[in-house]
Formats: sequence, structure tokens, C-alpha cells
Amino acid sequence: MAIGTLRRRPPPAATIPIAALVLLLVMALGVALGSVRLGPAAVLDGLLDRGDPTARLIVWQLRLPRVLVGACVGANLALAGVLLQGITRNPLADPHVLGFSSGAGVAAIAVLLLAPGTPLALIAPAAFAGSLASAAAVYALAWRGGISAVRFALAGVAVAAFGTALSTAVIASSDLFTQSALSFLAGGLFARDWSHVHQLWPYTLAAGVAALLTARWLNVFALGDDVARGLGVRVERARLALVALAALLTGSAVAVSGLLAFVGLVVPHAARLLAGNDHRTLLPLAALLGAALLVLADTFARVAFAPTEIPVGIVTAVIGAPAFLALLRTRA
Amino acid sequence: MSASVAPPLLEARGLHARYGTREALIDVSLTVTHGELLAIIGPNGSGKSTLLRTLARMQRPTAGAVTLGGVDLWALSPRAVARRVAFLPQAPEAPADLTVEELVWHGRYPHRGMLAPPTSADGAAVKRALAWAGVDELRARPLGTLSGGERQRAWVALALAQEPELLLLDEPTTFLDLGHQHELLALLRRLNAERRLTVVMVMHDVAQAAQYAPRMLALLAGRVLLNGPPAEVVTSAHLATLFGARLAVLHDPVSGAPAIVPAPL
Repeated sequence: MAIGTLRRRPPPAATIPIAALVLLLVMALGVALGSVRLGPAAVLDGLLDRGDPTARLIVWQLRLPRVLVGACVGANLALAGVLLQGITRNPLADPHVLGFSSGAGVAAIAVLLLAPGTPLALIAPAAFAGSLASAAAVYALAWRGGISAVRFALAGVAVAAFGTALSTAVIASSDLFTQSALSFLAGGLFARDWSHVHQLWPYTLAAGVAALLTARWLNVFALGDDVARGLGVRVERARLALVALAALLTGSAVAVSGLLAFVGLVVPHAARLLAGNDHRTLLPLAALLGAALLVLADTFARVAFAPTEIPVGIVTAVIGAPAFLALLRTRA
Repeated sequence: MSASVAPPLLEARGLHARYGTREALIDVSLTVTHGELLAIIGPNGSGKSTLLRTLARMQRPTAGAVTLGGVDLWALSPRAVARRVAFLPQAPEAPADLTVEELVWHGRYPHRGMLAPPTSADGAAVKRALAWAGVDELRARPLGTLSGGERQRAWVALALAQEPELLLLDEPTTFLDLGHQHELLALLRRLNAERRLTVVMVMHDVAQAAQYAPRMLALLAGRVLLNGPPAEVVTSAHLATLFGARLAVLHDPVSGAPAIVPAPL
């Protein structure tokens, strides 16, 4: 199974409609399940805004926005992961590992420290700015007349470690030990509503579409900087554009969800195992799988130990790690 | 002397370039005409690779200029250069599960728009490149399953798919065993003779370079020391200057190919 034509049993392009279908099913499940369980008919009625008013309220005000936020966050992080793994040619790269989200944590905690009791809605812009700032710091630290993939990855790891240390130090030395700071650091989608959907979807759409357009760059990047340059790619300019896209995708996601590790790391690999290295397939597939994984994980986080919710970041790790290992064993 | 001589394919004049902070090229000038096969030789650190990279528009010279068909290389876009010049770095790397055909398709990058679907001309160029490099039988094989020699031929096919006039190679035989080294050099000479592909390659092995290249350029400490046919360049005296070692040049009694051995004391 390791060699030749057996290696990719479904043709790579066929994985995209399948993943889209899976995403729709998972989203329907996310709308149906919860403290009040809705049957398929009630879900459909709710979505079409007819029938039982309670079901309509549950679907439109509580579950659908949360499912949509989850889908956007998952897609953003997975796409950012594919971009960063492509730029660094490093399978261990993701927005979390490379420090693209660490600035978000520092910024969020700084806001909570300076103005305790700040509502989450006001933390989001700070987190977004913090994330972009840390991404810019990684890029600037890696720059020395050009960017080498290795230096970029190392600068990212350093910024990530610095951000984490700073967050931890502030929390540990502070009396203002707020629940919201902790929940931001753990990541989660508790009580996300339409305002969060509106805040996020333009980024998912714009940066997501832009990311899909970079597929051929990423394919050529896989051959090394020199070969890419020799084929006519303006390597530094392309890399800066890819880094900026990854920063926008990450920043907009973590501003809404807090720091979610794992999705950006594992989903690109899962997509790669299913569909190979061609980024024209890999990018859309990773976006769909990332969205599906996060919606599924969040549904589980809400339902499994109801009425208590567990942070979705823990669930993505608990579901994702074994699923990923199973894929590795059967496909690689 | 006619007044309207066509400009040479590639020309470098008064080239200076750096490697890191070190001055790696000092006042290098050379001309490559259409259909030539030129080997660049020299000891380690003599500036061979820096010269090739400067000729390939990988690196900007600090002084002097490189012209392609009479036009400054840096006045052209990277894509415009890539449609005419292919560059193969030393020991390039690619994902192990990329197939030969997928690799070779990348050679069409400079000819295609960002979103344009491949044309029949693209397909034909890829097919030709696979055939000329002798890898059409391997087209479906992942790179990771190939031998070193097969993999290097796949990279040459990628370069051919660019449909270049000029092919630049940096030590293309590194990491190949002796049989594959000669196979690859024979392939390059055949492409040069039969397809009129102009080839400039950095070579480590002086005897091999002398056997395959009609003209050799020897660099020493960033300057051109010698520029001419192997018979003039590869002499015991020149090798002593270049490599600081007492070497003797023997000639194969049948083919006349040179062999370089340590000189008896």
C-alpha cells in the first residue's frame, strides 16, 4: 500500500466533495445536539425559521451561530497551518508552534490586567492585534537579508515560548486571576453568537480565497527557495504575502476562540495523508476538515458532560490525536 | 568585423559579487554563445557557485552586469528569465512522494498564468522533457523510490520542461556514483549537441569536465585564471596554480581523455 498507484485510493479531487458532505453532516449534528435534542424535522424547521418557536430560538440564537463560528475558526487555523508548513517546509509548523497566536494571549491578558472585567467582545480586537504583532515579530526576527525556512521556524518557536512565558508570569503574579483570562488561554467557543460570526466570516472568506489562490506558489516552494526562484517566483515577496495571510487567518480566529492548539498542526497532515501534497487539493480539503473537526469537537464539548462544558481545545486533542495516529498507521 | 553582430546569449562584464560578507567574485568577465557547453572549474571557495548563481539571477552582482541576449538580467522579470534560463541547484530536494511527472510539470510554471489551466503546449513540453531526459518510463514513480541517477535525470527533465535556451547546473554529479555521473554528463552533452541547448555547469572533477566540455573556465580566488579548451587549461602547471598540488596529466591512449594523478616526487 505504500508505493505506486495504490497509494492514493480515492482520486485526490474526490476527497473535497466528500469532506464538504461530512462538514454539512457534522454541522447539522452540532445544531441538533445539546441540552434539548432536536430531531431532523425540528432542525429543518428551525433552519427554515418555521414551526415551534422554541426550536427556532435554539437553532438561530444559540446553536447555529456557534456552529458557524466553530467552522470558521477550524477552517482558518487549518489553512494557516498549511501555509506555514509550506513556507517553512517543516511538518511541525503551525500557527501555535510558530508563535503566530502567542501575541494574542499576551494582549488579552494585558487588557484584562489593565481593565479587569473587560467583556470578551473588547478583548477580541486586542487579541487580533497581538496576534498580528507576534507574526510580524517572527518575520522581522527571521529576516537577515532574506528569510531562511529554518531561521523562520526557530524565530517562531522563540516568540511562542516568550509569549507563553509572559502570559504565565503575569497570571501567576497577579491577583486578577480572572476566569475569562484562563478560558481565553485554554480556548473555547462558549456563548459565541452572531456578533462573533459577523466578526469572523469576512476574514475566513477573503483570506481563505486568497490562500486557495496561492496553491501553485506553495507547490513550487516545496522544491526549495532556489528552484522556486529559478522558476520565476519572487520568493521573498511571495513568502511575505503567505505570512501575512497566515497571520490574518490566525489572528481573526484566535480573537474569537482564544488559543486553540492542535487544529492547525494536525488537520494539514490528515489532509495530506488523504489527498497528497498538491496544494490545489490540500488547501480546500484542509479548510473543510478543519471546520468539521472543530464543529464536531465543540459539539462533543457541549454535550458529553452536560451541563458542564469542557474546553474545546482539550477535545480536539483527545479526538484528533488518536484519529491522526490511526490515519498515519493505515495510510502512510 | 560586421557592425551588427547579434549579442551573445549570455555575457558577464566586470562582475563583482559577495558570498556572505566575503568578496567571492572579482572582475569576472565571460561570454557564452548559443550552443556552447562550458564547464566552470576551480578549487573550493574559488567562487564557482557564486558565479553560476549570479548568471542565474539568483544573486545580484555588487558591480558589473550580466546580460541575456544583450538585455540586463535584472531589467527582466524573474518569470521572463525563467522562460529562457533553467537553473538546477546542487542537490535539490523535493517531497519524496512527488511523482516524476508532477515534478516535471513544475517546469511549466513560468509559462503559465496564476489560474490558467494547462494548455496542450504545456502537456507537449512535459512529454518532450520526460522523453529527452530518459525518464518517461519513470513518470508515475514517486521521487523517493528512485536511484540517485534517476532522480537527477528527473530534475534535468524539470529544467527541460521550462524550454530554456540556457541550462545552468551546479555540480550536477554530486552524490552520484561513477556510472550515473557519466550517464548524466553524456545526457547533457547529447542535449547540447542534438537540441542545441546551451549548457553552463560548475564541475568538481576537472578530468570529467575536460572530457565533456569543449571549453573550460577556471576560477581562482574569485578571478578568472583560465578560459579555453581543455588541452590549454588542463596542464600540470595550471593545476599546480589552481589546486596547490603537484599533479600530472595523463591521456587515455584510446580516447585521449585526460586523467589526473598525483605527480611522482
